[in-house]
Formats: sequence, structure tokens, C-alpha cells
Amino acid sequence: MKKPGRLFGRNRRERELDDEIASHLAMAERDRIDAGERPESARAAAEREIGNIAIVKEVTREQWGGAWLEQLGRDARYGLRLLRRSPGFTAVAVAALALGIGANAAIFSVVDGVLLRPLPFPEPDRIVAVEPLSTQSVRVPLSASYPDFFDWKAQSHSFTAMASRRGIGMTMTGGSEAAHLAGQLVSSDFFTVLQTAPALGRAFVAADDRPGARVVILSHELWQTRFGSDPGILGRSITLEGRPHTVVGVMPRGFQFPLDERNAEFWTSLAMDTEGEKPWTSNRGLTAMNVIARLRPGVSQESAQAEMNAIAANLARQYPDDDRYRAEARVIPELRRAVGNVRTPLLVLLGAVGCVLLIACANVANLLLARATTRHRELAIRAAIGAGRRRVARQLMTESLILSLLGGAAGLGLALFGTRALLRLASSNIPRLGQVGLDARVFAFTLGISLLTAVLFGVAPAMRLSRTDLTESLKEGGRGSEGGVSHNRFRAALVVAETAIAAVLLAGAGLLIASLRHLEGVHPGFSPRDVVTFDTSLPETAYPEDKQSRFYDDLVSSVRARGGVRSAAAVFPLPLGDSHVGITFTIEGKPVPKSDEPAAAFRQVTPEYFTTMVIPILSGRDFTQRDEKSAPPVVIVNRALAARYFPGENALGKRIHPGIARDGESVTREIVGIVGDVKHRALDEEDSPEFYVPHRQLSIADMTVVARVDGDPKILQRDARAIVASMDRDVPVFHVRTLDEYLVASVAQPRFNALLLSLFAGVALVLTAVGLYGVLAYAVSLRTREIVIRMALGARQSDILRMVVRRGLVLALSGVGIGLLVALLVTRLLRSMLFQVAPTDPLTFAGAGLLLAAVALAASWFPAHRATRFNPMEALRGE
Amino acid sequence: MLDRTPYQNPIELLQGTLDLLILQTLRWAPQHGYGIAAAIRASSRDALQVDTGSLYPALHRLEREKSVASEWKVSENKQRVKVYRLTAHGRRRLTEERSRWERLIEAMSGVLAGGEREQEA
Repeated sequence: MKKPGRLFGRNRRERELDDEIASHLAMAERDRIDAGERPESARAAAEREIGNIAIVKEVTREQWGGAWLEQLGRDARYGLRLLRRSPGFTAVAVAALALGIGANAAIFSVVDGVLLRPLPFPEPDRIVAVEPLSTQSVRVPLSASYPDFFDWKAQSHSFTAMASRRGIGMTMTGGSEAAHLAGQLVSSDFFTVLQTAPALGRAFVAADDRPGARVVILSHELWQTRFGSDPGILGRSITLEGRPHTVVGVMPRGFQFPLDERNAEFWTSLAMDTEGEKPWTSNRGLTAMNVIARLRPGVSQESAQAEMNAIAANLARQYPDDDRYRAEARVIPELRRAVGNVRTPLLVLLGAVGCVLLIACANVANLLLARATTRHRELAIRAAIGAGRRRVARQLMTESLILSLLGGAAGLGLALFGTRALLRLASSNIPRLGQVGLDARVFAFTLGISLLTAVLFGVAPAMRLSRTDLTESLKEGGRGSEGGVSHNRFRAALVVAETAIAAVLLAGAGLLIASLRHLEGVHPGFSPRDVVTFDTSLPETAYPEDKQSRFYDDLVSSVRARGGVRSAAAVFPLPLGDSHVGITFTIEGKPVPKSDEPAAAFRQVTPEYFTTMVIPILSGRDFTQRDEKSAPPVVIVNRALAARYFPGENALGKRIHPGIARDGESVTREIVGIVGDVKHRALDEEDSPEFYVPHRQLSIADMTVVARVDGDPKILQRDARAIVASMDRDVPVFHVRTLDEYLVASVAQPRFNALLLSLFAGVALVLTAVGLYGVLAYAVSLRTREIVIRMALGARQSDILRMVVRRGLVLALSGVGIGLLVALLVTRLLRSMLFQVAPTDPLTFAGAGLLLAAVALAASWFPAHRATRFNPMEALRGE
Repeated sequence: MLDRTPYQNPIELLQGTLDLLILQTLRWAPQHGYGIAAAIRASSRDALQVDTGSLYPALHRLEREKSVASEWKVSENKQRVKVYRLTAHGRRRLTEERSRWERLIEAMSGVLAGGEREQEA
């Protein structure tokens, strides 16, 4: 804050300056009158002699000196006055900057919230994921088995703690209606790895991992919504899957782990997995676990990695049947693992908005240069009174700074809406989206890029203008056309650069759009139209095997009996759903070593599943109600399995032996049908082997009901709960959706990427068009005299038109050429986001180039057209 | 758009010479800005016209470096005017500037005379 005395002093000085100039004017006027001039014209003549009074005052003020801050304040006030005086220029510049900065702030808020912000746990950098790597062909991360996890934990020294976790759904009963809860089944060290204790109660201890233990820790949210934040919850028993579990803790508000799965409502210990005749914890071939660990202080990720690789290699030798192709284990930061899938797309988007900002900068630099030519006199006077280049440059930079800060402020407003829109658009499978918002970090980023932006668009004009040659400007009588021509060359270069950047963005957006179109054109192998789906889950205590299949038979018949239902069935897992099961199998008469057994996607289905989904039965038959326990074991395979494992043979009647077994029982099944391929997890995957078994022969507690309906699917969706409740009040109904929704969700991420990149490319296109228009319009105004003379000498309008448009096209096409060359190198970054499109797809590149050329043509047309309309008399008089 | 007011400056002032002219003008009597400009024009027989946009910044700069001091007076026409006078420091500067100017003239005419001789030869 300035001291009042200083403030007063400056005001007095300002007033005195006004008085001094006023007295000068008055004396000049009087002298002229004394010399015989008429009073009316004397005043005007005196004023003309002084010139621009505002500039005179301004340059005088500059001599006052003062502190750096005071000078800056003066520059800023002067800059603001100037900007106020040209509202059109200011509005266009601020709008362009606001678009660029706002888009950057919005995308940065997402990138920061999702990718950059550390995990909300103590020393988050030390939390790593340990994953077996497939060493068979492609190195892809896999899930771990319990025995491997136990061996890792026992043999490694790089970690202070290591824990397993797996996602699990459990039904809670005892309330008004059964609720299906999402949770995590974790080993007791889980909370030690995260170094986060429950807000209430205790974390798990080793004893909780032993068979028979039934303990649960609730999420803060579950505790609030289902238990009314009951402080006496600890020690209470709740019923999960029909069994009593003791609540031992409640996690703090906001605690979530992992970040890339459905939010957990509870955590339970791995006791359950240690039970049964063939427990998971002793099955090395059953791989469904994720492993997290905390690096010991002083141990680097690399050395932990080396140790884990050695351990994994040992296990592969020791247990070749299960681990032969799991001879490596990857140690990566957990955050990196959780956001691995969205990292590239988000960074690509960040790069794209960076490009948009560059284009905005080029545009504003262009505007500044155009405006500067009309300011030549002012700058010349500044130079004349000895304001050095540095002084002039500083004034110009201050103005740029004001512009960029205004743009930044407006951009922040845009970002506020932009971020909200982004969150609505974004697919729900982007982890940590809930944390995204405009906070201090985003503000700091926005301020930072605003300052950077000022440098980007301000420095070049400031450098060029402060070099303004005093003598030249004055000789030209303030027209400044000399400078104008050289500036125009620089401006043309800016436009070429803008066009090049826009071309890169357009090519990128084009590739994503083409890719999305291919993806959406993929037939999933079933017909998703008019199919209602909902999940149910049977508590295993109340539903032993035979009761499970009976329940689903009854449920499917009740659904089928509803009006409007054409056919219905049940399946697990639903293709393109949340779960995927892969099972190894052997072919009768073709033995292979256990480690080399092939795997295929596996589904348990009721009869009529294929009819309901409209999956063609290519040969053989569907399952029927006669395919039950006592009947011969059967299996239906897809075309891909038949083609790969029975090439040139008829697969029907062949027998395979799936590696799935219940209670030690193992069966060889006869292939009774061959059906069409479906996409299992994503539309962009290759068709792969798959087999189906009838649920009466191998039942399961959790299934998805699928029903093809006529008319409004909402009716069945609304009734689903009632149908199930009428059978058993303790069976929850959840994920009530349509098959279409699963399909839409499966392309949500590519659609989001394509949409945003197209949006940014569109903004880039508009900004580029504006830039090109500006340069051409200015060039035309500089050449008014030449054009008029040409026309006087007989040039036709079409000649003039062609002359200007040609200049526009030359600029644009140079930009397009450079841009597409750059795009050839850059679009390979998109490779992982593309489907059935090469990163250098010639068609897309040609399209991007043509679109830009067409827009450039339009942007050139208007100034060209105006040039042909010059009135020669007016134009020459104006000179 | 473009400002077309003619910007006349029959003889361009070398940078720094305006200071010398102002100090010289103030040598005998205090004077206001308009008076200084008029005096310079008169004593150069209209050859030197001081631009207002250069005059006042120069006056304020000289005041800041304490070569001149100013006070507000009322002129014979009942006009409130800011009058500048030379300070002791200003007198010293005037002497310095003058001798520097004379050295410059001497050097310049030496060069120019030499150039003429060469041309004649």
C-alpha cells in the first residue's frame, strides 16, 4: 500500500502537469491572436502544434523517475488507458487469450488432479505396485496368485510392507433391503503399506488373515449412509453374504484405495480366501490379486525391481507349471499404474491445448504489430526524448502483461465452466476425477501461463517496435508504412506458424475421429439394442450349488413371463461388462505341458442366452434345460476357438477339458455347439477363443440377467427389483442398465478424447482463420494506393481478387505443408489411442489439409473482396 | 486510423542538444516552458522549433537532476505559470555542455573541411 502522502504528492504533480500544459496552450493561443489570427482557429492551431497532449504528458511523467514499482504502476495505468481507448482490439486479444488460457487451465486441472497430485498417503512416492509380467510373448502385467505373493513377501527385503488386494462384491442384508456393496479383500498389511489408520477402531492384524476370521472395516461414506454415523458401530456385527462380520474400524472421510476401481465401501481380510477344500491361498494357478508394497527408505525402485525379478525368476524355475511365463515382476509407482491407461490421452490433450495457446499468442502478437503501426508516432516521440529501447520495450511489455492477465482472469472464468463440462463428459473410468477442481495449484498454473503467454506474444513485437528508427518514422510523417512492410513479413511468418500448428491439431483430431468411427462400426458380436440387464448376487451360505441354478432358472422364467419380454437368459460374466474370466483348458488327445495350456474367455450361461443376445449358433445346438448335472458334460465354443484349435476339422463332438473345477471335480466336456465371436472386454480387441458351459452343470452365485424387450426398457428396469424381491428379499439387484449402455461406456474414453481434440482443433482453426484474415486485411490496407492504381491502369476486379487470395493461400498452404510434415512425426504419440488407423493415415492428412485450405480461402476472400471495392477517389484522397 | 498531422522538425536536434539549449536560455532569467520554446525559436531565427513533446520531458528531467528549479508564478496576463530557473548545478552543467558542444563543432568542422579538400583534389 502506498503512503497517503505519496499518493497526494503524485496527484499534485499530475495536477501541476495539467496546469503547465494548459498554460502553454493558453499562451500559444494568445500569441496567435496577438499576431492577428482569428480566435476560433487560434486554439485549434495551438493544439495542433502541441500534438497529442496525452502522449506529451505521458512522456513527461516518465521523467519523474521514482521507484521501480511506481514506474510499473505508471506503465500499467498508461497501458490500461491505451487499451480502454481501443476496445475492439482489447476485446479480440483478451478473448483469444482467454480461450487459450482457459482451455489450458481446464485441462491442467484434470491432468493435475488425475496424474500429478501425489497419492493422499504419507510418503506416497514409496508406494509401489508389484505385478508379474508375462514373459511368454508380449510383456504385459498380470494378476498375481496368493502363493506367489506370499513367496514375494517372504523373500524380498526391499519393502517395509507388502499386501495383496482384490476387488469383491458382497451382499449386505439385515437392513430394509439387501444391498450389494463394492469392497476390497485385502491382506492384513494393506493399511500398513498405505500408512493410514482407521478413523475409528483398528486396522487389520495378522490374526484377521486366518480361516474363520470375519472382520470388516467400513468406508466413512458407508458408515454415514447405512449406519447413521453410529459412534458405537465398533464391535457390532453386520451380515455380509449371509455371514456375520464384526466391524473393527471405520476409515477416515475420503479414504479410497485403489483409485482405478469402483469406490470401495468396505475392506475385509483375506480369511475367506483361506477356506474351503481348495483355498485360493494355496492355488498358484489362480491369479486374481493385485500386490502393493512400500519401498524401504533408501531403497530405489530400480534395486527393488532387480530383487523382484530375481525372486520371480526363481519361482518360475521352482513352479514351472504355473509360473514358467511369469519370470519377471514389475515394480512401478502405484499412482503410475492406476492412471496408466489415461496418461497418454490426458497428456495428448494437454499438448493440444498448449498448441491452441500458441496459436492464440501468435494471433495477439499479430494484433499488437498491426496496432503498433498506428502508434509509430508515439513510439518515435518516446525515442526522441531519449527513452531508450529498453524503456520503450518495457512499456510495451507492460501492456502485453496487462492483456495476458486480463486474458488469464477471463480464462479462469472459462476454465470454471470448462472443467465442469469436462467432468460431465469424461468417462467414469478415469481415476480420481472426483478430486479435480480449480484450486490453488490451478490458479498458480494459470498465473504462470498467463505470464509466459505475455512473454510469448509480447517480446517479439516489443523488440521489433522498440527498434523503431526515429528518423524513418518522422520522415514518413507518422505513416509508418516502411515498418509496416517489414512487420507484415514477420506477421506473415506468424500466420504460417499458426496454420502449421492448426494443421497438426486437425490431423490429430482427424485420426481420433476416424479411429472412433471405426470403433463404433465394430460389431460386438451380439445385438445390443433393446436388451435390459441387471445383476444379482446370491449369498453362498443360503444358496448351495443346486439352489443357485434353480434360482436363476426361476428368475429367468419370471422375467420371460413379463409382458413385453421377448426372450431372457442369465450369464456370467457379461461381455463388455466389469468382469472377465479366463480359464485354461486342454484338448482331449492333444496333451501339452501344463505351463503351455491355452486359455480362453469363459462364460456360464442359461439356455436361450444366444437367442437373447442374437449371437448366431453356427452349428450344433444351444444348451437346454436337459443339460444338467446328471447329463453328459457339454460345452459350446466360439468360432475363434474352433478355428484355432480344430483347424480343418469339425469341432463338434470333440472333447475339451476346462481347467475350472469345483470341489476337486474335473470334467471333460463335449463340444455341442459353435457360436459367433463376441468382443469380451473392448471393441478394439481381436476375436479370441471363448467357451460357454451350461449353468446347470456349473453354477455360480452372481449372474447378470439379460432380457430382450419390445418397447420401453424402463418398465422391466423398474420391475426388476420387485421380481427378485418376490423370490428372495435378501438378494440384491444392482447395475440395472441396458446392453447399449455397456457398449456406450466401452467407447466413452475414445469418444471423450476425440471430442476434446476436435474441439481444440476447431478453436485452432477459428483462431488461425482470424489471424490470416487480419494479416491479409492489413496488407490490403497498406497496398490501397497500389491496388487503386492497378485498377486505374485496367486491372479487372478478378485480377485484384486473385492477387490477394493468392497471397492468403500461399501463406496458408506453406503452413499446411509444414504442419503436416510436423504431424507425420508427432502423431505417432497417438498410436496407442488409434484403432484401425495408421498414425500417418494419408486420407486423414489430406482431409486436414483440405479443410484448412478451404478455411484459408474463405478468410482470404473477404479482404480480397474489399480490395476490389476501393473507391479510387477516396483511396487516393486518403493518401 | 493513421494520424496524418504533419510532424515538422526543420532541423533535427541531436540528442542531448535540447538540454544545452534550455540551460542556455535560462542563463539570464527564469522562464516558463512556452517562453523557452519561443526564445529558442527566436534566437535561431525559426530554424530550431522545439517540439512540446520533447520540451516538457526535458524540463522535468533537468528539474529532477536539479539543474533547474521551478516555482509557480502569475504572469503579466494573470496566468498561473510554472517558471524554471537555473541552479548552481545547472550553471556547472551548462559550462560542461558548452565546452563539449564546442569540441564537437571543432571536431566536426575539422572532418568536414578535410572531406572538402579531398573532394577538391
